[in-house]
Amino acid sequence: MDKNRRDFLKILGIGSAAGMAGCSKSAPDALVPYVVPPEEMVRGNALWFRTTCRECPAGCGLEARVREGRVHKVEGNPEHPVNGGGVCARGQAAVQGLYNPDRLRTPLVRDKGGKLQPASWEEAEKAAQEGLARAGAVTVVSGAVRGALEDLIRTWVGPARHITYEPVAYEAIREANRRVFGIGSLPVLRFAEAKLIVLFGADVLETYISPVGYARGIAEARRKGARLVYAGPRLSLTAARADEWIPGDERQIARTYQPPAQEGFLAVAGNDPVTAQAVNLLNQRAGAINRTVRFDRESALDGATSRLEVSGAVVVVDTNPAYSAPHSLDQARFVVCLSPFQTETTEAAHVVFPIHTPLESWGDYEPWTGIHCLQQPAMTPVFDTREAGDVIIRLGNLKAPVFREYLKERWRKLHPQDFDAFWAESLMRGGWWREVPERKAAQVLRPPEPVAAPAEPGLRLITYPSLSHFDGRSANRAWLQELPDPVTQVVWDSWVEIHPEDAARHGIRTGNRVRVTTGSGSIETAAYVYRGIQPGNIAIPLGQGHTHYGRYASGVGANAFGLAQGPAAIQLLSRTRDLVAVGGSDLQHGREIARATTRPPSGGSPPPEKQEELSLYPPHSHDQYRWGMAIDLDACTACGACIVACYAENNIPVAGKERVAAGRIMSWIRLERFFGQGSRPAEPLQMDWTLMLCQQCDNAPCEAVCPVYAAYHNKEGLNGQIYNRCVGTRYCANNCPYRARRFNWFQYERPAPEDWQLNPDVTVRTKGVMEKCTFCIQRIVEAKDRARRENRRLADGDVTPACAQSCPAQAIVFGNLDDPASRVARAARQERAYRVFEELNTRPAVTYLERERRRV
Amino acid sequence: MRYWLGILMAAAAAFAQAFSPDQPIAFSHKIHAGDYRIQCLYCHSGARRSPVSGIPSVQFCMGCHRQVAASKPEIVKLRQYWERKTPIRWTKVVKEPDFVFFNHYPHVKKGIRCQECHGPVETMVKVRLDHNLNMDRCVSCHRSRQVSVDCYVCHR
Repeated sequence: MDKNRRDFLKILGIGSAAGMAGCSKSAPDALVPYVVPPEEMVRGNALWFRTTCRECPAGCGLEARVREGRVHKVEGNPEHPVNGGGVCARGQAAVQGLYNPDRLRTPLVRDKGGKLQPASWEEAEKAAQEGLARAGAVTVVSGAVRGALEDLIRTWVGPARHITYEPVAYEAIREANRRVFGIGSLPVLRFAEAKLIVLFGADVLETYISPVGYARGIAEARRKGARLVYAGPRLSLTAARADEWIPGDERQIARTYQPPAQEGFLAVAGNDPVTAQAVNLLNQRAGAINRTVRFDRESALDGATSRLEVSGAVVVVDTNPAYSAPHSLDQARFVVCLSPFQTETTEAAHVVFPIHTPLESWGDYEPWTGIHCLQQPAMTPVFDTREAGDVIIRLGNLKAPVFREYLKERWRKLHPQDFDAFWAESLMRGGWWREVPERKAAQVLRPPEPVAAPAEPGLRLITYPSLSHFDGRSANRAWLQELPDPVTQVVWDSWVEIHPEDAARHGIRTGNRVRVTTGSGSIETAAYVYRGIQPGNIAIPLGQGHTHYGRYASGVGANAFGLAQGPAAIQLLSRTRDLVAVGGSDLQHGREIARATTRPPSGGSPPPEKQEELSLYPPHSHDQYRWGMAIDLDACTACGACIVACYAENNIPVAGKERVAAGRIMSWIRLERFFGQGSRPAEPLQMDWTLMLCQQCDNAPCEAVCPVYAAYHNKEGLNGQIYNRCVGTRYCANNCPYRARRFNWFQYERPAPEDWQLNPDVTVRTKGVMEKCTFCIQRIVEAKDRARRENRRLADGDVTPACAQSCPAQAIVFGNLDDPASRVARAARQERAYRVFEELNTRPAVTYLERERRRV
Repeated sequence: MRYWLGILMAAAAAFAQAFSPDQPIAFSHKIHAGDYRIQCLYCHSGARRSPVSGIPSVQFCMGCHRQVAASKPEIVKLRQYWERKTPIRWTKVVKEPDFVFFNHYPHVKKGIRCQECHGPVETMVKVRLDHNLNMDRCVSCHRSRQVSVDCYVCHR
């Protein structure tokens, strides 16, 4: 027999194929076409529905991408006046609310034994109506819902018995505006027109009122040369973003701050009465009022309160006071709760109605007067839930049609002539925005100084809404739990920030369990020792420490809502170190990964162009395109929106706390932050950061070491990663100097219906496979298809990866480096441009533009 | 040795290609596409405008079969699906592996006949998987037409 190797392999192959054919799969795949197909839907093509984000009161516009009747990604609505195309991490995670595995599936009624039992809608309605009637006059508690839902609630119980409850309601700012200008409204802040922005404890890039719009405005102002100053006791993300951080008590600094004689001044106060009043007077003195600070539009938060006390019969509509205002429901005799999820409030309620999440609902919202945002269902409801409005109509026996018709009738009043066309256009636009008459504000009186609490010895506690979870409502999204906090890099936990001096006094080190006690209670959490907080202060993020909020939020971290801001004490409990943080060194060790410059921006003359270095080897040839990215670190606010957008787009699994602790986080793009001391003596701590993702190197170290060519270089300059070729040697990850590659150590399961969120255009990777950023290859292919249909080449801006799309500050630019006129090629030639680890000669396709620290 | 190897391969190939399951309705492509010469894209219209060719809805079938051959036993079955408003669970014959993204639209636009990949479906009373739709087939066709064979064209 002249058997050779090839024949042997063939026989082996046939043998195993025959063997495999013997094992039949459990059931053959079925093709199930529609009985009656939905209109407009073409299988395999995406549909987009515009709606409004309701993850916080900002009211950003969204576009939901729908494939085969399922939403799998939301993006910002580029035409929207609030956010203009960007959307934050919490907005991106709205789909994880929709597909949350812990959503309520049936109404619940408390039985005689005091346990909540599943019930039919009719039973629950009957129980609710009887219970409410017994308990007296009904009070409705909702979040900020200005629009049809608010009208409906007020027709039922009247305005006096409707409480707009928002845990973060900015009452101090509204009160200061009323006292100084006679207008008890939140101001409209025009960051884009400002030249000097001074923030007094106002974290405008994180959670403050409308952070996406503000981030966009500040990025625009910075492109025009604006300077950003932050005063406050914490190096918050916004403070880290600022050109200058003035550490200290912002109340004192605001009172003594001297505004320069300069056009375009804008001061913003945090939610503190002393600061807010001082900032108003400051803005008045600097001529900012009616210019950068305006009062033309009122905010939906204007009637909101953060202090809640209710009694009698209470209906809670999609808000969670039992968590964020502990004991607020104690006096209530009968509580009905409308919520998509099990929450602390549903646990305290007598009857619970499961309602749609915002992506399934009709609705509208008016975040600012004249900005009428529409909400339309982007898909049919996942579970047997109902519109909150419809539940209210039934509970109150209101003479109203179904909520959708009620909403339409309300909109008919906005534009009676030619309504049908107006309605259709508004749905397509995402709403309707109108100009409002100018409302001039003038100082009406010089009010007396509010009395500040006397400074007491000991520690002062600061609590702040967290970037990922806001006031706690976003805590049940796994992506946001896994999103490392940009400053501490901590995942799946809460912490208390404490200065090393204070920590040393109490013998506390990072990760130790501590107890924080204030006059109103105490919590246990982990310590994070950090020079970014002033001695004498400690700070805790809000939003964690849920007891009943689904599998992702319950039992994670500690709830700081019960703690009063002000004097506090800290005590070491144990030396365990259970705080899980990603990222390695806090210092750059001179490697210049995240660069910042203090050089003044060059005005006028074009900067000298950088020369390409010579190489012994011929360069790669590219067909038409060489894809590249430019990340402007001067615009980036480290908000993490890109990271969550990447999770949503690319089917990235959530690893969980234990696996992250083992270094197995799966994110394709990450924030690397480094601390440094300023160059001047006695300068406070500084934080610099960069986004790290696959650099799509021209001389890629990963490609050369792959034994099976799973990592390869394509003709468009991309480092391909072909999953079905990959055998999991992990050589590529070991050879990658950027640590951009992630290995699937496990087969990650997604509990139903979370798997509905998966992007059908991206492979779901299995165990044993390496993965990394692909520059959203599926979007490149889709854009090429689109161009082919229109018989043209791709134009600059046709391809937008998920990270670049979501960026509120538009810091990420993507395009063809081979086209010298493209935005990315122009960015790569800028004076500020650099590449990370250029000295390794990897020739990355990602260009960073170094950050500027503008000095006066 | 070569002889036996050939027989083995042929047997294995025959085994692999014989996949031709019974369907809930004995739909004959031979009658529709062969005898009556109805265009493939008339029913599988998705291939013209999207990655997926699509299976026609029950409503679409009833568009003709309210009148045409309404009393034939298979059409009676169809009408029962329509009246009960239940979808038909066809058994999938042509299956694309999980890690491949095939897009019908550009192929149809280039004028590639459906039969080049799906075989002579218009002659089949019952659809069968006539030949392997493996990567070799895709790549050799792409090569011969000088179309990109970059991995990222199909694998993402």
